[in-house]
Amino acid sequence: MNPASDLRFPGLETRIKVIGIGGAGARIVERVWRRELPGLAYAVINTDAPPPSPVPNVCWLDVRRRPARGAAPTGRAGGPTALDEHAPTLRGFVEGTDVIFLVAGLGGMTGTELAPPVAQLARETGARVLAFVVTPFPCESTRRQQLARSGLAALRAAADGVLCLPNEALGKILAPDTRLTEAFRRSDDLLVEGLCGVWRLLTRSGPLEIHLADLCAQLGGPDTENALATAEAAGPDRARDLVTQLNAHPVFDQGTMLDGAESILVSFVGSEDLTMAQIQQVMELVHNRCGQTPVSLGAALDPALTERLTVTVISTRCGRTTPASPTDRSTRPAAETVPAAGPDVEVDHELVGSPTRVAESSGGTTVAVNARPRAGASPPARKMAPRLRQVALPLDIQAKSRFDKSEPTLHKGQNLDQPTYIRRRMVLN
Amino acid sequence: MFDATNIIVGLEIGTSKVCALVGETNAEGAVNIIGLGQQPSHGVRKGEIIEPARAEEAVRRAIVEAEHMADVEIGSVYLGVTGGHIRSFNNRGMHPVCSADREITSEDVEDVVKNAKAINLPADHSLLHTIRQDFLVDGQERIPDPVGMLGARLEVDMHVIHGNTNRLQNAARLVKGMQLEVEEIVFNGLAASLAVLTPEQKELGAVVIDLGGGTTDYVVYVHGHIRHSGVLAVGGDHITNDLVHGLRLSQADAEELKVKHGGALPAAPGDSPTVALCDGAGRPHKVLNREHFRTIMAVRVEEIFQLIAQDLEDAGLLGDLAAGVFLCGGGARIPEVARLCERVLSLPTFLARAGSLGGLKSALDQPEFATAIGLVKYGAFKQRKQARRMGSLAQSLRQTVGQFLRF
Repeated sequence: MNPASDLRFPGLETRIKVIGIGGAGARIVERVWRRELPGLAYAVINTDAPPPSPVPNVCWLDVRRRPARGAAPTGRAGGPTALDEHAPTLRGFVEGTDVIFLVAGLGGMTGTELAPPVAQLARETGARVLAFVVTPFPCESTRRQQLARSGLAALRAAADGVLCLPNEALGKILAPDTRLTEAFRRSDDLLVEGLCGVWRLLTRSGPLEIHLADLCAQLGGPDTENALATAEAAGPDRARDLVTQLNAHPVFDQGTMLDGAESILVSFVGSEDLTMAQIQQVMELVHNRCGQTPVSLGAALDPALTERLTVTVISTRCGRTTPASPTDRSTRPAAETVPAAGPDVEVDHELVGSPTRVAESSGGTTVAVNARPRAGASPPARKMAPRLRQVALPLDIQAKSRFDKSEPTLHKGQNLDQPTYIRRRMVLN
Repeated sequence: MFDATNIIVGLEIGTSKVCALVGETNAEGAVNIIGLGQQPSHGVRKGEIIEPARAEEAVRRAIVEAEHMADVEIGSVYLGVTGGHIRSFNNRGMHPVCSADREITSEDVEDVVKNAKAINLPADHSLLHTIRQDFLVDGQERIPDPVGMLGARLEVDMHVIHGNTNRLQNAARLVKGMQLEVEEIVFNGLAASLAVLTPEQKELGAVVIDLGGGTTDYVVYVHGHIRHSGVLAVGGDHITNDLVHGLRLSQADAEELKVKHGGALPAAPGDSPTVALCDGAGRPHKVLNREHFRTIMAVRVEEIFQLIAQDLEDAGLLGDLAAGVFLCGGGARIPEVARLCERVLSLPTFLARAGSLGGLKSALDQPEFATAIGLVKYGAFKQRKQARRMGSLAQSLRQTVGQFLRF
């Protein structure tokens, strides 16, 4: 480990290791490795063979099943077995670490299967586990999305904190004719930035430090939803540029990330001439959006960041997941009506998202709606269940119908005509 | 002005009800309530008239009912107004004492009051009230009457309440269109505080919160004078609306639910988990989750108090209110609303009672009529002041003519 002088008390610095699982995890770990952040060690758990020449600081675990001949690398029942073989190596890698950053893309096979057990194993050896995951694009198949959801739930139970980057958030910033590879690269970008942001948060020292325990306390819990947004700006006007960048961040989304948050964490890392005014300018953005929410503020200095300022914002929401996207909602009722439609009809729904999202997947992943009744089993007159699509209720518009003719009561940016329980995102169940 | 009728009528065109209260002054100046007309209001939202035709109908009916009960013909009213556009602030006027012996005369007092009334209002706003507070003589505060004192600099604080001219005149125009004269336009909150607070409570410092159907008006008294007033355009209607959307009810069902089963605090653990709405025959036709219902309602009522608390804190008044909070208006009927208010504002809270008026006990006891009672009291007070002025004018006239004749 590099005894870098800018780390916190030498000897007491936070030891962090990064484990990437699956194809996406491996990709992202490679990019983080390229950044050469001091003090990190990496491991990759994937179904590919390790690179021919050993890469410094990277431990490679190949989890392909031995009798693999064109078959899936980790079958439904095969996942845990594959990990058991490598468990000792993994334990050795994790031994003595304070935090493990687990990176995986959910929805596929390796990442979704192995991330929860790896997290479990790492926790058993005494390390804290922060998982950085991406969920599939809306146009990817329903099965991937279902897998992603179940993987996310399992990971939430197994890890200390899960920071999920929903790829559908990228829909806002990607042009309709973006290439598929470009879209995935942008998604990787965001995750890499986020990971670096959290690394800086934990390792850079400064007047206001955020400790690992506090971070895990905020992120942890089986039902919490965390969102992560990082931004960086340089130059004399960096505070203002930072605000613009943050607003343009697809996850931050002009501040909707902060709505309904139970707690917010903001960490600034800047050069030695970090000023109160710069912090104020960015914090104003947060306070305007939500004055009542508790905000933890961290400020650290990194001499390597001359004339630059970076901010990492993490917002935590508790309780049920946010209202699902149109595709999400429709998958569940579809899955439930399949048995109801009768045992003879095998319905294969691959639902299409909203028109704008279909346009993104111009890379050749065509999506179609099929309903294939098994040959000869059922009378051909039986129709398939109608495509269920439940759009989000237009609560905003209806909620002030009684007050349509009068002037809306506005107070500090809030429309008081809207029901209070909706504005405070209170969950009634 | 010269006629001898001592009938004072207060008219409040509210969001949930229109109320006309008839009062009669006797020789000693005490006021008796002799008539009350009340109708459900239509076409009024958030305290302001948005559909004049429907509102006029309701007002007409209320006036007729009041006339019947009091057995008088109503010619003029004191009209209560409110609305989110109403603002208030304190203005200070200064006047140097010019006389050689530095004695403050009543002319000095008149001058300083005139100076204090020189205010800059926004272009589309007009004055509603200027209420004189205490004087300051050479910086010494809380002088009630400086005439006869010695000093170099005389100042006075005025509390100014103003509102959008057009919106204030809307209500007045409606009333005038019914062949009724508008004696004066009065701010509802001010009227409610006149009805509800005793001079002792005003001296100790108190805030009156009128929880109405369309708006919540509040007025703060410190050291016996109005220090701050405001209107929050959120009221009982908003609670009903929240229930309509939270529980998927119709407007009527939500209103009934709120009135019959509502409360300011979330459901206690011992209550039954559901609440049933009964139809006309008493059979339950809708069963709802009590916790959801009470949560939605409690959160809205709490927000109202929180907004008022924030305003009072910004004005720096929370420490001066020894007598506490007095709640009136329909919202004061919500069970445990006083407890919630106490929790949010950290001040002792009481349900207000209108006092020092005789007459219809049924009217006086109900919190919804606090504003109308206050309007009548305001009218009585104004008429007494005028009578005194007329009396002194008549007296001086008699003296002058007498002198003439004696010549």
